[in-house]
Amino acid sequence: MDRRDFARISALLGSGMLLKLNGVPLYAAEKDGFLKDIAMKSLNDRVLILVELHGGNDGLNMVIPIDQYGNYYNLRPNIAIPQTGSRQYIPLDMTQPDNKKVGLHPDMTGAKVMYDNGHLAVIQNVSYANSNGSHFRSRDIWHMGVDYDQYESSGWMGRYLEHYYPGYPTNYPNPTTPDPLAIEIGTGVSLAFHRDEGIPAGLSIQDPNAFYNLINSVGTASPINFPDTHAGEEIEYMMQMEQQANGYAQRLKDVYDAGANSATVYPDLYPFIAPPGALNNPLAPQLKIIARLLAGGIGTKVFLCRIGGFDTHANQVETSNTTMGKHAALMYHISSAMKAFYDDLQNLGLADRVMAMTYSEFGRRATSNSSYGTDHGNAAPMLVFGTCLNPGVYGENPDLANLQNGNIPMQHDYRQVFTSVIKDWFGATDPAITQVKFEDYVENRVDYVQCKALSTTELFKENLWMNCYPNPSSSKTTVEYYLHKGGHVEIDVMDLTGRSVATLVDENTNEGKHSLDFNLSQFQSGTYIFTLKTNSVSITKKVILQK
Amino acid sequence: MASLTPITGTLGVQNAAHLLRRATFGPRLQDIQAFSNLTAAAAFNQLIQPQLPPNLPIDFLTGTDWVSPNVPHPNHGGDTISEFTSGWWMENMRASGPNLTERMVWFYHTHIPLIISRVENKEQFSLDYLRLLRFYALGDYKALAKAICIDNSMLIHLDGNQNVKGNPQENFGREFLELFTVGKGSQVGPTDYTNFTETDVKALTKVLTGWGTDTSYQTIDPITNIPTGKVKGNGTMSSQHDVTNKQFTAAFNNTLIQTTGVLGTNTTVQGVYQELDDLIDMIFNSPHTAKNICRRIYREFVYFDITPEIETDIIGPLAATLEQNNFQITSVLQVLFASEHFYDVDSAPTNDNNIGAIIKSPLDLIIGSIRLFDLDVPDQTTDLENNYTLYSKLINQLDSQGLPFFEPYDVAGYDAYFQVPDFQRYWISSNYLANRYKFAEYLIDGFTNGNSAVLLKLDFVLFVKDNCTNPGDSLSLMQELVSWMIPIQLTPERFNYFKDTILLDNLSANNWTVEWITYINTNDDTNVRVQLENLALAMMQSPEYQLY
Repeated sequence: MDRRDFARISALLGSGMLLKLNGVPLYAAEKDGFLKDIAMKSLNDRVLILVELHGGNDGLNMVIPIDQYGNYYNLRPNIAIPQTGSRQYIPLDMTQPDNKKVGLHPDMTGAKVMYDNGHLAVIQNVSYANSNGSHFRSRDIWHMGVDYDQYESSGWMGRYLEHYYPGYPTNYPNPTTPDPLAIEIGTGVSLAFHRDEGIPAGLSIQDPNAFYNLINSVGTASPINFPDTHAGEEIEYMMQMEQQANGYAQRLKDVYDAGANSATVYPDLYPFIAPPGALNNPLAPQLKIIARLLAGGIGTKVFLCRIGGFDTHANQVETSNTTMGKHAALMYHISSAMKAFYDDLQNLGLADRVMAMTYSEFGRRATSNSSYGTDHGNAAPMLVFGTCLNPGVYGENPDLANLQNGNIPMQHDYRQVFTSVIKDWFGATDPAITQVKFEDYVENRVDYVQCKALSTTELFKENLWMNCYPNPSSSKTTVEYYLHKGGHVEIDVMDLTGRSVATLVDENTNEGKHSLDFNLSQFQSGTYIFTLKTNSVSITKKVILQK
Repeated sequence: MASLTPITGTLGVQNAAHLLRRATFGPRLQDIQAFSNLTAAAAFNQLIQPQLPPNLPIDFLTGTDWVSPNVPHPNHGGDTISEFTSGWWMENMRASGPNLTERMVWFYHTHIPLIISRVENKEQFSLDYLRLLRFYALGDYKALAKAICIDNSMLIHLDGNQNVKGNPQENFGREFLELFTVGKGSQVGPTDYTNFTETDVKALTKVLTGWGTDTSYQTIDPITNIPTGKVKGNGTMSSQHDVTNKQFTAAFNNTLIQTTGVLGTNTTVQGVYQELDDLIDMIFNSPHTAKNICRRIYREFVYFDITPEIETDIIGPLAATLEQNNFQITSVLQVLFASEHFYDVDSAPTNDNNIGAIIKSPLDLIIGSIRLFDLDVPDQTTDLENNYTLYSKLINQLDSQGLPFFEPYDVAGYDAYFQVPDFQRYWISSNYLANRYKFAEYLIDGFTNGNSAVLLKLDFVLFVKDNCTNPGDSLSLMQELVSWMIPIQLTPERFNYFKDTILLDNLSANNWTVEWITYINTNDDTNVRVQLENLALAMMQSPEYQLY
């Protein structure tokens, strides 16, 4: 980054925000504390859904290397997906060269449709060097974002959020950032959102209404002073959790109530044979909640879903039919839930904002065992879903004649995949990428994101920033906007049919921060589009009116 | 410098409460009193008094247990019996006296977890697993580790029964090394975890080939008298055991384990047992084994954070003690529970104090509350069905607080006991914490069955009346309640919050005295009940009450 950009960032970020270039601190002149706040935020409204496949997914039966079908079959005849017949694998893309021709498990029809629409990227052979065969250590590595022999007390996502929201949870939630930084659907707290100090950056919820009712019905005043003992540290930790929950419960309920899913039907049961405990779709309800929260206007950028049952040491298929069973059901659940989710998002006008990806702590061995299952393995594919991808197959099919100790060798380091998320999808700056500890993976990151976000610096070159709050609103919303450079500004409000219902601003405006209040109570409840145009660029925000 | 030097003198009330909180599932008030007059050594002797094994659980439709030759009633499916087994286990915890046994059974379960649904169609398996843990609860850890390798439930749970020569199944072997014995060290190479390597996993897996479940329950361990799995074969010769050499790496001193009694490609049943013995000897000769279990003991009974100082001053010496005492687990418990470190007197600064620093598991919270308030439950002998119903509801409560009882999500067990870096803090998410608080409400409202019969209920007014010395004196009342319910000293501000804002409702202390006397004289508890229940809720819904 050149000196001019640094100077600009420094000016924007204000004093008290310490930037370092090659270890040399830069103190920026305070321009406006407000700028510090907005510069720290990711300036786009993009969302990431992480889907954790808990237990180690057998990638070889999810993405089948059909150029080596013979070898594939011979390695695992008692669980192999057939090549012909009504239950054969789904050829994904016959326009690929032979060494990238793959087949999907036959129950992944939804994923195939998405691939044909350009909404799926398959990244093959993802792992890390010296893969660890322990679930717990390997999962920790994927969440920590480190090498096989390193440890962090934070998750990579936690570090990313820490960079853009330092000092959390103090002063959170606030009008600019009223929503949880990250949400984990479920009840626990994944290492993924851990920060180095203090409570994790993520909030776990199962159902926003139930959460609200629960949080509001319990608790007492918190202690003010903590003893200087280990017990005191635990009390402080609990208190912060409590306060975080209290702070967000009302907001989550409001957003959830304001939102609604479209008429899309989410999948429920696996239609074929599998053990009773494997039939219900564990992913669909989680994605459905997320879609509804997004429709309600939530500003949270990262969601984590977790589904389990992948540790298929035995009986991963039905002995009577290798295309059905425990693992097949999971393949169906992922594919059908994702398809429904994106259909729902399309109907809600949200699909362009959302990218989703699956990952697992490791794949499984190429050879099956005599229990119709597979043991812990190494590399495995990741599936990336979104409407603005460079779709396709990344990485060549693993060479099944040259396995590593019976395992699929690594071709992509998992950080090459996650770095594209933070840099290309979220537009993270270099300092952010460094804080996440992914700076070595920028050059060689997997290039699956087509519409790359501008980083904060780049956006500021475009001169614009706007926000509306409260959102959803029951009557009035405050429109705040910042111009890096003065010029003619027009702010227009449209309804969803594209009809203009109001013009708020239409005049030459100075650089700097401005705000105005706009009362929507004369309009019907619904979604309105606020557009700010200046010079040759524009920025839009959707505001929901719920009277 | 952390110190294992024994403390001197009698325990006193605070140390007695601390010891009982840690060593049992919650002290009863009379136990605190009794132990306060004992020295640490005498107290420990009490804690390890051998206990009669509890009566086996009964299926109320048959009137008997389901230990062979008895079976459960056909109307009760495996999942129902699993619920009964879980309920019976929790009732054992609730009913136990001031003794270490129950806590050690739970400890061993968290260390060597079983997921009960995996064995629920063989209802006796999970029961035998619990009986095995109980047999060795205050005994020989090395013998327990060996017995686990051939326990019926383990053979199913970690797929040991599918481990046969020519087709090894590594699941149990890996977890045996990684979780139950040497533990994983830092990864120094592609397949090398310092304390063991992938090669050792493969070798160990071969040693354990050819075992299977015995659903006739006729293979009985002569020491424990509990059924085990058996060597696959014709009873004299094995059929599925791998008799080739098993070469271990430098992590195990390059030990070579060879099968004895080999005939052709099989061996005698005796030979297979001998090989298991050799394996266990080898693993327990590794210094990592003793250290690993001592660290888990430390986390269970002291605090989750093991600093380099703790590692050197506490873990090291405890591991040495354990090895010198042939892995008799009480040898280290004895040292630990008498030590200056355990009672926070080994150093002047308070910031490393451990008293009150463990976050209760949901089990500690629920069972501990029942024991502290000495609550009645439906009688196991005369009201068994309601007894099971109550525990079924309590198991739902545990689940909502983050503990899926007897059904951990991971083969490694429940996150709070192993997941770095936060360990016990895994009990605290916004949902879990709120549900812990909610439990206090449920306890006061009471748990009922389908016919509205009360199964469990806290009558806080009665508790205060029966146990407090002078309930009409708000100061004395508060002091006693705090000393029983809160494991740390409260600041004056915090103490007064509970006393003045909550109990007294910011009215005068005199007002409370009058209300109390009126209650005693008229038997109308309306007014005192409101205030006392508010107080109970406030105290139980505090972060301080979540600790022990």
